[in-house]
Amino acid sequence: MTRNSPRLGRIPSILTFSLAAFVLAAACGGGGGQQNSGGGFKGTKKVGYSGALTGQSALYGKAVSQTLKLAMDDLNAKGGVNGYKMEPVIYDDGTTVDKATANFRELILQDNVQAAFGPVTSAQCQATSPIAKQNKTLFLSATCNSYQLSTEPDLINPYFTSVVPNTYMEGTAAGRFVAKLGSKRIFIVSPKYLFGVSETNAFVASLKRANPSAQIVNPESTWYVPFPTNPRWDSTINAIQSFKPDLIYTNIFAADEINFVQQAQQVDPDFFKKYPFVDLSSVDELRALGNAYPLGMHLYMRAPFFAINNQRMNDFVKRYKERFNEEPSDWAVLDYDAAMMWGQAANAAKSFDADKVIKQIVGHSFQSLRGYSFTIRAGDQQADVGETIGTTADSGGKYKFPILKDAQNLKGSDLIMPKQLMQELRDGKCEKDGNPTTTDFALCPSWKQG
Amino acid sequence: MIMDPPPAPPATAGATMPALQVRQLDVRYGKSHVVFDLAVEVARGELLALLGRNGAGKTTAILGIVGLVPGASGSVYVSGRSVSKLPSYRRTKGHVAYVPSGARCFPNLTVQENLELTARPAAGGWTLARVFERFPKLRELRSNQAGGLSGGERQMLAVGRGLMSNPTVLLLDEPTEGLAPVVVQGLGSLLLDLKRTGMGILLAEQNHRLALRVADRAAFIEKGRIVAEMPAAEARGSDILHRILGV
Amino acid sequence: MSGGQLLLFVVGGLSNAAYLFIVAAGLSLVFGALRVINMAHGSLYMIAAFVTGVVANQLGLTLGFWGGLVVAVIVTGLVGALIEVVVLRRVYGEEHLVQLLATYALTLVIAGVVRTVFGANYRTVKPPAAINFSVTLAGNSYAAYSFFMIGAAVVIGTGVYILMYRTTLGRNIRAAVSDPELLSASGVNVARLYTVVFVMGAALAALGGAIVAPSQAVNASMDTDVLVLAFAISVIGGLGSIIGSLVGALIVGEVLSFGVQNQYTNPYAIAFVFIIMVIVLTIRPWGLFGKAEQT
Repeated sequence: MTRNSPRLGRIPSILTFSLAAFVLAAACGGGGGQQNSGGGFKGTKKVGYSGALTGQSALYGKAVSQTLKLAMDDLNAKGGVNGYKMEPVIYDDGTTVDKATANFRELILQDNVQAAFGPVTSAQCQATSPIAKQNKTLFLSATCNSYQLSTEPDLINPYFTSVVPNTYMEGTAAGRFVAKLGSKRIFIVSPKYLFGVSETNAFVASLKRANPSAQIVNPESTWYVPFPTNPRWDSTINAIQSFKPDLIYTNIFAADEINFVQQAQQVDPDFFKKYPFVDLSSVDELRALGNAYPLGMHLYMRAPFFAINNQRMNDFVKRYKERFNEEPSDWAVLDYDAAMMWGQAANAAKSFDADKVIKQIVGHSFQSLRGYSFTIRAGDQQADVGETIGTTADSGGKYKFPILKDAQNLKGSDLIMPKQLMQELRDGKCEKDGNPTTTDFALCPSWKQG
Repeated sequence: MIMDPPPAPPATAGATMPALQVRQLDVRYGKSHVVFDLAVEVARGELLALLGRNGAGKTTAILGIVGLVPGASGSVYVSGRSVSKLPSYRRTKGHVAYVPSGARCFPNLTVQENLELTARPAAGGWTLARVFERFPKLRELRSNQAGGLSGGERQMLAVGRGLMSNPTVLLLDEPTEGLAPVVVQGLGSLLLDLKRTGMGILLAEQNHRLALRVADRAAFIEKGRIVAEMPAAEARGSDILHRILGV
Repeated sequence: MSGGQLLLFVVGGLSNAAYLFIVAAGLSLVFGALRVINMAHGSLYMIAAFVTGVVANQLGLTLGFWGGLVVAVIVTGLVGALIEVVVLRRVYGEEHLVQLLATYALTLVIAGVVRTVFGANYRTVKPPAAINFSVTLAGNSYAAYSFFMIGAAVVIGTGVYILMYRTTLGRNIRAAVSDPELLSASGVNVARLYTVVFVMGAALAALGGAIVAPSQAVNASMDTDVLVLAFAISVIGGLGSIIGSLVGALIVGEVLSFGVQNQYTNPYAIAFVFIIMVIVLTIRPWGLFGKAEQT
């Protein structure tokens, strides 16, 4: 009877450690709407979103969640969809593939959602689109955008549709832009997963076509950095310093973009004056870095509110700001477009049935906050939406972050993948050694012909 | 530690009061009742031997007095002042020193740190220097971790730790267990010296030979109850030793 | 790999190790004395990073970061005290699983509170102007801030060592590690000591969070990112051992630095950390510098 307090030894405590890690890994966020159907509605129906409220892309999920609430309220204010009150169900996936997959099953099988909004990363969409297909649930992509999602035979999904320019379109826009800048020596940094590889390939292919004399200075084996979350960028920063490129081309985003920009400027406060970049970015990264975001950088963006001036957008920004006390990011704009498109199509179909609703989407046109109407074409079910390209500049005190000057809104019809190319990809004519995992549009016969 | 009903409090608190008075001490571990209505009293300069077999309740009784068992009720007075409501760390700060069985000390602390930890200076009382004087071996080992000491050395340290707090009453739980006879001898003479300084001592033991040699009185405990109490001289060689301790 | 590049990776690893050591030392200190695996340790680190961000951006470049650091340590310390008194005290005697669930619940609560108070937007903090410059060594440039982080870890580590081995408080904490009951019977208020230890652990988490803020995006998932690594470090180095935290942090920091910067190994950098953890667990389940539980 000397020590009566129960104590576990170190070995069991270490076992509990693993358990702790497991519990953590399995940690899930959650949230949903209220259960009540207001007066005049036939009842309540749900739409679902599995998004990054935590993890590498935590920066993005909040805007999407807010937008879905706003969009559903807007639909409900006009009588709902097919007479039903709409309600968003939102789950956090921590920017991981596993959680997104689990969330999709939950959304479709438990919450019985009528449509699901695509997660952030292409890796997550690659895993979740087949679940939507299997369960005949519409998959509305407004963030993830690898063209493979609609050309790889095992990923092709009749219920998939995208209102975001895909990697072919974005890479093409960036490649033509860099060709126009006349940069000769380019350094590439890209996240190592489906999106990064897909977008970078499109960039390189279109750059080489538009300006054959442009040279990529770092070897292909060093283009890609680990994803998600690479907290230290010493190696990349110093490689850039040793290659001394005219321009950095990058499509890193969210936490990676912030860490890279921050750390490079700590290594050399003039880093980006010496080595300016072209990057895929969004209002979220500009906002996060604020006045630490270097000026004079060339950004291509999907839907920066400040560069798009039309009545619908201005009204949306005003209402979004009133409700959520911040400006909408690109993700808010894109998901709003997706939600409105779906609401309009489901009303036109007079049904929630995915087969009927998709018929009202494909081949139809919808108004976008981006100042034009877009059409979802048959085949890849991709919207002919554009991209905004410009150079970071002080907002003149209007916002706490830089905006774009000389912004151009590129037309989706100039960027969208030629149908023949799409067909060749689908037919497996663009593979290295007949290996379906190495599909690359730059290998397609029609691309090679020019 | 609620007294119900409160036992008659000692008339006046102070130097003339017994070093330790325990009344109606009951200790329970969950559902099992281990110590029943225990009452002991130790005067200043007196040594009371608490004798009983293994498992008779000696250790539990001492833990109850020190305040280390949550399921204890009853009252404890030190120099006539009630400490019943004080948590153990306040009981042991200067009032009661506890020398646990097995020469328990902090194995990852040095000898000197072990001693300093309980130190509570008192005029003319025990200091590090005096402890080292009494136990020269500890001085040699002062920078060693206590975990590396031999059993006898650790017991010296455990007793030294008790002395460093200059207590009114010293509680020792089986201090001779596993010690070489010569060390037991040394401990015996230390206890006799301590009595002469006016310290009250409660010595829980199985080893009645040492205990009865240094004790003034003996209390026998069996199954959690005091079954007999008598002057030590009377207890030596009495048949109660055979009955209760099986010797 | 050239010498210059080697140095680059070593320094990158050291700056990883710097903040990871500070955080893991806090985790280890709390486990050593309280025997509680504090899952909310990363949450405290995250609170500190956000507080540093908010205060630093209010105060401006000269004072901002330092002010942020001080406020972050105070705020996080208070949160730590609250957690210890309100939650942990109720679970000390319980099984590890109960403690784990209680502190895990705290991580969820804190994550919710952080998102409500600070929002989900990322924040960035600029290093103080005095240490925002570039250093060139062997042909590569380094952020002076990286060396500041390393220096801060050395200072904080030395401080913790002095506190543990040269002060009465440290002696009492070490005594509590081996025998809290005997410590209570030696006249020390163990309950209050536990609060102090937990606040110290929280303050170490806070220092880590404040120091890391200018080098990484401050965001609402920093809690789990750091906790996983701090756990790995503690298991490798030995829970409860400050020296173990140091060695574990150096191993993990360098493995990550070398791992992520090489194209062949970069997808597996984190996996290497856990492979090392498993190897250590197999050979020395109590970690490199931990002690096997004495019976």
